[in-house]
Amino acid sequence: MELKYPALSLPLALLFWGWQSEMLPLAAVILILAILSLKTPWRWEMGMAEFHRVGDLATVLFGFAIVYFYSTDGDTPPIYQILRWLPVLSSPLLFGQIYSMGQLLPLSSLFYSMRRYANPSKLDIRLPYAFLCILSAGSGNPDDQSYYIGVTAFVLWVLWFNRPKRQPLIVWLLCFALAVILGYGIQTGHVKLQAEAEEWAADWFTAWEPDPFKARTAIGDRGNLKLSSRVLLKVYSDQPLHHPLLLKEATYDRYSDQHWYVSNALFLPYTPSQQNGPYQITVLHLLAQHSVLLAMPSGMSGVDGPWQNDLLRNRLGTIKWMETPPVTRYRVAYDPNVKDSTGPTTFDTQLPQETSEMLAPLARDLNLRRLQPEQAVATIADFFATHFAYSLDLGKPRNSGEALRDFLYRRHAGHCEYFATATTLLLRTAAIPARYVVGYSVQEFDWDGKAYLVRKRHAHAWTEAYVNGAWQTLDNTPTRWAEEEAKADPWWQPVADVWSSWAIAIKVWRWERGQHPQQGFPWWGWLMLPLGVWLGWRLYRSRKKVANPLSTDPSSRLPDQPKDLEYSRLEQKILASGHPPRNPGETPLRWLRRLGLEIHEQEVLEFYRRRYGGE
Amino acid sequence: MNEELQRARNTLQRLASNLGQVMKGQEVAIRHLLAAFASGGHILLEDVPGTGKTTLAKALALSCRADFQRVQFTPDLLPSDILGVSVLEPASREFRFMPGPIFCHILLADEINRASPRTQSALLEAMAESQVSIERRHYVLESPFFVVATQNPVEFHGTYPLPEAELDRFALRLSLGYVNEELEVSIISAQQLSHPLQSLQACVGLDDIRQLQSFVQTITVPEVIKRYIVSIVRATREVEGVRLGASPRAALTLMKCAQGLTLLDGFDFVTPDSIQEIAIPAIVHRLSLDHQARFGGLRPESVVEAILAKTPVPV
Repeated sequence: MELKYPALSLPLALLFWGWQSEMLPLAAVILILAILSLKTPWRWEMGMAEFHRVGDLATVLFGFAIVYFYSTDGDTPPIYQILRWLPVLSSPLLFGQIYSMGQLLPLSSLFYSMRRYANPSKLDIRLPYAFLCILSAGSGNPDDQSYYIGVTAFVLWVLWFNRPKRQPLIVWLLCFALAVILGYGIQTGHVKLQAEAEEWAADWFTAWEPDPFKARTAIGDRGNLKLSSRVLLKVYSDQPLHHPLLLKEATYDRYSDQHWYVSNALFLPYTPSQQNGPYQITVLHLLAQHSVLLAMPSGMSGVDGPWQNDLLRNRLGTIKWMETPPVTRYRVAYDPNVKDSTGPTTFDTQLPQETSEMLAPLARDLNLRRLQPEQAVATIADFFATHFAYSLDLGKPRNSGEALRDFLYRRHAGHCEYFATATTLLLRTAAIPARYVVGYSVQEFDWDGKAYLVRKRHAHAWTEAYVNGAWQTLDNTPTRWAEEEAKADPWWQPVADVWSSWAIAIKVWRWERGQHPQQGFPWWGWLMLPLGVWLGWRLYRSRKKVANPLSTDPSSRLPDQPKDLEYSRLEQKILASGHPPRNPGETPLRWLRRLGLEIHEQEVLEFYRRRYGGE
Repeated sequence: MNEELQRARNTLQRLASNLGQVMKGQEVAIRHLLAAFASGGHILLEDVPGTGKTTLAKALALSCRADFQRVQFTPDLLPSDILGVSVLEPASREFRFMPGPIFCHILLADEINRASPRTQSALLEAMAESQVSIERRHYVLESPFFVVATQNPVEFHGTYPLPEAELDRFALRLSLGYVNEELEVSIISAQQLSHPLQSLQACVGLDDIRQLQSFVQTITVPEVIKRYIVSIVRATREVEGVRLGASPRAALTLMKCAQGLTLLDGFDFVTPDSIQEIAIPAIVHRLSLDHQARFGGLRPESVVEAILAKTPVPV
């Protein structure tokens, strides 16, 4: 059963949409045009082709809305923008119906697949359009309950006029009230559930995002470690890089129970210097987060980016940028030979008691305490290089407290976090200040060779040791690590890379457009212009077509000149008196009856007798 | 010629007015039924229960003193229940054929789609050739032989839809439909004391019907009209969404029914108006639409209407 259209549904829905999505002027324009259709007697004589053209216009508008909203970077996601504009985009369908003679819209103007049928079903678009307005009003989403109340009121209004006559009113009202209460419960419950789920998911996924205060290592965590190949950074360099370039994101100085922390590390406002260095790279940061840690090569001398005094830095050199855009590009000048010489603190040599006991036998074997710092560093590097292998597959999960012992004394295999943590801790047993550093290793070329790609699986950890009055970078992870990680890539990774590089290009393009709003005539206007001209021309042509049957030259339109002279004269006489011509599929008798010219029936019957009776 | 025309037309008009006494407000259905009856075709009445299908068939039989039989089709009905069966005569110790209800002039096959396809097909030969073959013997059915089958278009549980071959045997598919409020009141008032069928008198004899049927065949169908019929029928095979168009038998039936209709109007030649009037009931039940078209809202009636609207009338 079709829903009846209750009076005022359309104005109410339009006003509600205008109020909720803050589009009142547009809603008023549509409303006035809709009301005008009731006040004016004139209508378009719309055939099937014209209705299809109206449907096409709505489709084209929709297409342009998609292109436009996806090419500009507003505050709200494009999908909400499109939803918000839906009543405007589909208004041609509404006007096509209410200004046409038939007052109904053929379904074929909405569905291409139905256009081949001569007589498709028809639809009163007003109620669907009103519901579309209500749906669209949801994109406004003020925090109060006005939307739910409005929707309930509207649905009540529509259903009131369509309520079943067989049921008592009280039953109907109770059912409606139950639906409203259930709907409200489900809606709020759903919102809460989503919030919980988002929080939980955020906890889960951010386990691998660097936290400037605390690094939760995956030591002893999982049997098998696998990181995704998602591209996080793109690094452009004018000159070949020192392979592999390590980009430092965060530095930690205190170890406790598989975690690294930053001691006494307040983030203070930081204004970076813009000095030049012998090397320069541009980093394209693709992480959409509220704040990011800037990945910096060691020996950084200057950095330039689109920030405005909202950079923060802690005493270990970790730089944080608050309120980042989804795409960030910054330029770093650095000299790998310049070392950071700010002195170590007492935190850099501290070891927890049990860790110290655990490492003591090894430190004794390696004779670390009696060696000079340089010698100790070399001994540790040599120890890991000769006895250890890189592995992501660590068998069954270990008791987390025992994982490091297992790595050092039994398994002799692990991933970068094991190597970096073990190196840092061993150095500390030799009383050499050392810190744990996380960041990325830049080593893979983009498919077109123009930039370096840094994937999530390029995340790396290493050690900085204070030797000879400066912080030296020590990376004891076997150099094969990146190859091992890359082995886990699926076979379609190159295709995925090409795809993601396009996606990144579009993301960057959208963001940069958002940064520099264009002045003057917008680029899409040039696309719209020829289309508008074309549509206008089509409309103009179709107007002429409609006007054609009213012209007074009948001879040009008759499919077949009658062979009977008398009938031919009768036909000419009728046409000359201003009557419309006979349709090709219409018999002469039916034509007369349609025109109300029954007085000529006898003449036509005589003609029949001559023509078909064989007289 | 004119005398014969007058007599045949009289027969038809008397039948029409006799039926009109019983079936109020069904002038169009009566016209079409008589057109099929006069041209020797059978009809399929598709309608909801209680609209007067059985009354119409009975009234026709009563009006022409025809032998009337009614078979209620059920899923367990067997072909022998319709055609007849040979039984052993104890005295002569021979098999004697006991003719079934099909040996009549007017057969009402009520709810034909409730019987199994096997039983439905027992009607095929009788309808097409007016003869019945049982146990290698042929029995010719007495003329006139006229089948009125009914089916309920609403209920489909436990039914066997008629196959296309069987549907093609029916000249016309008609539906009576509900009459308007005033008429409905007058119908129940008229039947308050007695059924109109009880007072219905025969108005023509079986010989009149035979003469009528043979006269209808002689009604002129000019070449242009034959071409017009064929172009309408052929057009149904080219419509997108139509899986199975109308057969040449449809063209033949369309011509014959138009002959009957034109006689009712007093002409001795077929006019394009009678073709247009009878085209929908003669063609729609033979069209089979594909699923997509059906769900897209296409109906056989609108297919034929569109074809009639665009096929040029020969003038």
